[in-house]
Amino acid sequence: MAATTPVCEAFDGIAALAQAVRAREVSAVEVTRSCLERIAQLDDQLGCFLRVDEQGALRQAEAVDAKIREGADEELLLAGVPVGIKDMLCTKDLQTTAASKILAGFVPPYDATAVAKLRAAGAVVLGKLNMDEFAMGSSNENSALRPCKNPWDVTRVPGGSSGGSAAAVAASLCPLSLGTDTGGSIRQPAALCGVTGMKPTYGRVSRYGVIAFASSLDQVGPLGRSAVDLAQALQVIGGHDAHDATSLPLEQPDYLAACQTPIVDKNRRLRIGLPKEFFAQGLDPRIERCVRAAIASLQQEGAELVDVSLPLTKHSIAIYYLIATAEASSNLSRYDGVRYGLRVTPCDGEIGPGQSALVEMYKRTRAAGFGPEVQRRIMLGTYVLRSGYYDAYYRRASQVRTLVARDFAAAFTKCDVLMTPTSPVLPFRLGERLCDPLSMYLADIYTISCNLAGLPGLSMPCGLVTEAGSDRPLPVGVQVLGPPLHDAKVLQVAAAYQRITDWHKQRPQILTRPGAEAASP
Amino acid sequence: MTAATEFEPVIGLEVHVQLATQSKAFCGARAEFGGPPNTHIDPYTLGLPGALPVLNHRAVEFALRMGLACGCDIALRSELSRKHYFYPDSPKGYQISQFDRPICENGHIEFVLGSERRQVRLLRIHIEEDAGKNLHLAGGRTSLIDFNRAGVPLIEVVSQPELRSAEEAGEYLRAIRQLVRFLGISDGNMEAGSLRCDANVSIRPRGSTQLGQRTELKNINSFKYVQKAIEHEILRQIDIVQSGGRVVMETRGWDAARGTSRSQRQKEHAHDYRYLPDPDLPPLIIDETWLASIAAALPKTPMQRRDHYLLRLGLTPYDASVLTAERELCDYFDQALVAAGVPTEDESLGDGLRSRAKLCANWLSSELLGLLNKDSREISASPVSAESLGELVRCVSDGIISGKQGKEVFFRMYESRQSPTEIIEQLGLRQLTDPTLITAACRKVVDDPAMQKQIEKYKQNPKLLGFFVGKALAETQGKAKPELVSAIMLSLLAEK
Amino acid sequence: MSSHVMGQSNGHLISADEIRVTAELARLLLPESDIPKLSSELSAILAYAESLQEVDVAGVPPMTHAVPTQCPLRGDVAEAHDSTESAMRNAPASEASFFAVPAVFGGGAADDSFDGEG
Repeated sequence: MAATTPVCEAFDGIAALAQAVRAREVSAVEVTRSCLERIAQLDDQLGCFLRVDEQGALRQAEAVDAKIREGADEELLLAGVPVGIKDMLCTKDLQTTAASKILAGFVPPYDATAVAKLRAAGAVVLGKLNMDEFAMGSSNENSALRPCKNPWDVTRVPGGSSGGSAAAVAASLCPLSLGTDTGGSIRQPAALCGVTGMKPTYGRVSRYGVIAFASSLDQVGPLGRSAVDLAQALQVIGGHDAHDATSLPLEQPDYLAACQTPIVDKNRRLRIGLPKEFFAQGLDPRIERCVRAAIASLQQEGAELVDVSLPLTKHSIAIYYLIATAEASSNLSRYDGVRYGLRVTPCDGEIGPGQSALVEMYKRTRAAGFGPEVQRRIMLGTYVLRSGYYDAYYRRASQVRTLVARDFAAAFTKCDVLMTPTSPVLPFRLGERLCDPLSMYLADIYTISCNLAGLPGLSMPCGLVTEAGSDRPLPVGVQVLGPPLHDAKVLQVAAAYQRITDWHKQRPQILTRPGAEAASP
Repeated sequence: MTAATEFEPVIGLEVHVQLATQSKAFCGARAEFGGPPNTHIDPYTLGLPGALPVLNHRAVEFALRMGLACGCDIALRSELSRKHYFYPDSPKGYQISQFDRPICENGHIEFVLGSERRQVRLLRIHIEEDAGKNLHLAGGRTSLIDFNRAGVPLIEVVSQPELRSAEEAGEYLRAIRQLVRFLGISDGNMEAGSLRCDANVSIRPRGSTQLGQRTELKNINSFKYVQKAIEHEILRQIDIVQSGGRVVMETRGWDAARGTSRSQRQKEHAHDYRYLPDPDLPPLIIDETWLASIAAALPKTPMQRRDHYLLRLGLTPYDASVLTAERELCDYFDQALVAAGVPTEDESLGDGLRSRAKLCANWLSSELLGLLNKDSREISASPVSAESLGELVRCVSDGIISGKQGKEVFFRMYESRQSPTEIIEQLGLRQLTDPTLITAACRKVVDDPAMQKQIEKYKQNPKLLGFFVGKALAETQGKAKPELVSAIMLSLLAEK
Repeated sequence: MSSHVMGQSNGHLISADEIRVTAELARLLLPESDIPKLSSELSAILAYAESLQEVDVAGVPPMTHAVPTQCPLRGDVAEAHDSTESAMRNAPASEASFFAVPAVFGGGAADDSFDGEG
């Protein structure tokens, strides 16, 4: 039988929901309760949340309602909007672990800037969302705590690393979530779960309070049901933050206004670039058909299509795995069992002659606390930074990265945005690719170069594919990439597409398991 | 020790200077020394997940002051890098430092060794952050960590291997301490750890231009031990070489208690720091207008002030050294000079003003510092203000009081904090300099009939002038200025 | 050793020794039995990355930050501090407001930090 439909589903977007809450048509507490209820019914089998903060969420919702009663709600753009937060972002007084055992029990004394801004806008934090450990993975299978499943087909992965963020929105557990994207970690699960997800321009959203994976690539972004919802969310979480030295010192444009702007007017037509390298070998033809159809529908709206080439794309995975692992090995050095999180202390007998108890504590803590994929990347990153290898690997990768960014800059002289598939493959089955790290890395081929160049990128649903022998349709995502700082342009194109199609409105049918019925009222 | 003279030591110092900022290098936690354990902390200081660095502009400004004062090449674009190592006092597993592109390169430190002026070239000066502190309980199985100091800004001043003796290394270090204090960027307090020093030491046969295998001495955290530790290391290396051994590259920790060093043996590769340009911190770009304004406001260095004292004022090297020991002393002296009537920025001074400056230096270094020292007082707590001391010197130089009277006035100034003029008036010490009054007194003597016999003798023997001067001074109760009395008496006697 | 990495002309195979040294640097306790697998996995990835050697990067500056900006500087202002108590609540071991760790000089090995406070 079907689970409760949460209150938020009745509203056309989060802005309408917030409006209704502010107009006291529905209370923030009611909205929050209905989400908590649905989570209780469904999340046992989906595994989207690592931690649900029921008490905290209700307290926040009550506070929002109180503010509205007092008439102090002018700033509450997201009044009563329930959000899930990827476990990569610090939440004050709410355990934050990056889905890793090494951070077990860590309770941050502070909120990440993006979370603080959400709360200030009246959003209600429901809890912490599942992910690949330290955001390292493309399937959410590297979560050290629990698996997360694709709501369209629970035998398949939701994508990663922000798998919980995408699956929670797809399963209507919350209308909005935050994820992080280092090489596609928002866009790829958004595609695999049939939701809209955006990685803004690097520096648009503060990284303060965001657990670092690869600092020069990491970016926080929203996942939701439509581009318009993302515009609203980005308006709130974006903007300059003096606590992040890489935060862009710029005013944000009006993203909602951009979403209302037509892509074609008297003076100018939108030019969509199609990079030929993104429609090449390895792309599932069913995905290609959906993506080309999406592009064609925008063409029908008057957009002009331009063929472009990004010849260095083929190097992007290699660059990514050298730079991201190098930075990760550095960023993860702080997990040493001294100040917080897990500590494994060796017993007396385990310390050999010539060994120090302290060094053994480090080694045991880190070996026990980090999962295999994280250890693999720490090893690779440590290796490429060693003196003697630095120039050949890290430095060279950084130089080719410059060339990748130049490739994009050249392409963007010919077009306003690029449109590509988000993922070359449909959601795969749990366990299917775990054994071969390199093949897993190759799944990120279309999303990685965007991070290398710091571009804004968005993935949105553009079709459903049902595999032979299955009755469960699987979503397909199309990616929109823009030049740095042109987040508004990316949202504008996505919103235009979503005005003429309704793929983003499709929801998976999720059956509650018999045992879960008792939980429903 | 003849054997020792066959070898020449080659020494390079790496000096860490803690910068006197309010907040830490990359976050807003207090940078102040001490405090209860783990109170000057915030997410960055503890290396909490998600915390990010933002560079303190004052730390950059201080590094630039040092670079400008040392004549370094200032990098308008420099890079902050991560230096990785695991240690409990390092909260992130790396230290933010500078590697490929430090903020300052080249330049030199100047100082005086004996009577010789020395210039030691620098490799670089870079910005970095300090570590926390580990405390080891004696015999304990636990170490305790306090992160109050973690993240406090440092500059590391790295010399070329150009120092040739332990003594010279000591002077070099003192020069750095003096310089950072004059520049107002650090208190230079070695005992409190604001100044720390590592030394790279090697020896080679005298005359050789090749460098020998060096060792690194760590933990020399007191002036007292710098010379001792380096000397000890030089002799240790000479011993090894003379007994046919080879010096091995290693880090040695100085054990002050035992007066010896011991090897801190390391595993191979233990020191691969895996430097990485910090992705959290974009390149540091120095605005040229800012740099120019820092240069324009740069306090004078001790060596500049020393040159000024030697060349313009004609002070002795000894006086110049005493006065430039502390910036407060220099400032005090310069203020006293103004009050004494010595112009500060005139191109050259005549002999009169030079001797006045010399007098000022004497009063300050031998009289005032003597008393302050006896009372364990700093110059800043001197009961005699710089203005008062200068005024006293002016009174003596202008002959308002004699030098001997000056001393009495000075002691009373020190006791009562009164100005010299007040004391001179109170004691009625003002010298008689009115020529009419002095002439009257002199005339009274020479016109005295009882004196005529002496006057006749004087004509045969001019050396008797002093006798008449004494009589005339007595007429003025000793208040007349003796030089004036002599001159007037001489002319009166000539008329006789 | 495994041959699959040698497909590329300069395939760089990470030896077991290199794996040991790297694990030591990364402070990861690595069972001997895991070394061959890790060695071949990392070698495969590095072999894949060999393609970067084909790219002409002469005169190309490295891109170390995603968006070209310059380092902002903050005012030298001391701000409010976190509470020592909340820091200690997260600590795996503490004593009297200090974080506690196994003795730095414990066991048999000498200290190898850059700045050990002897």
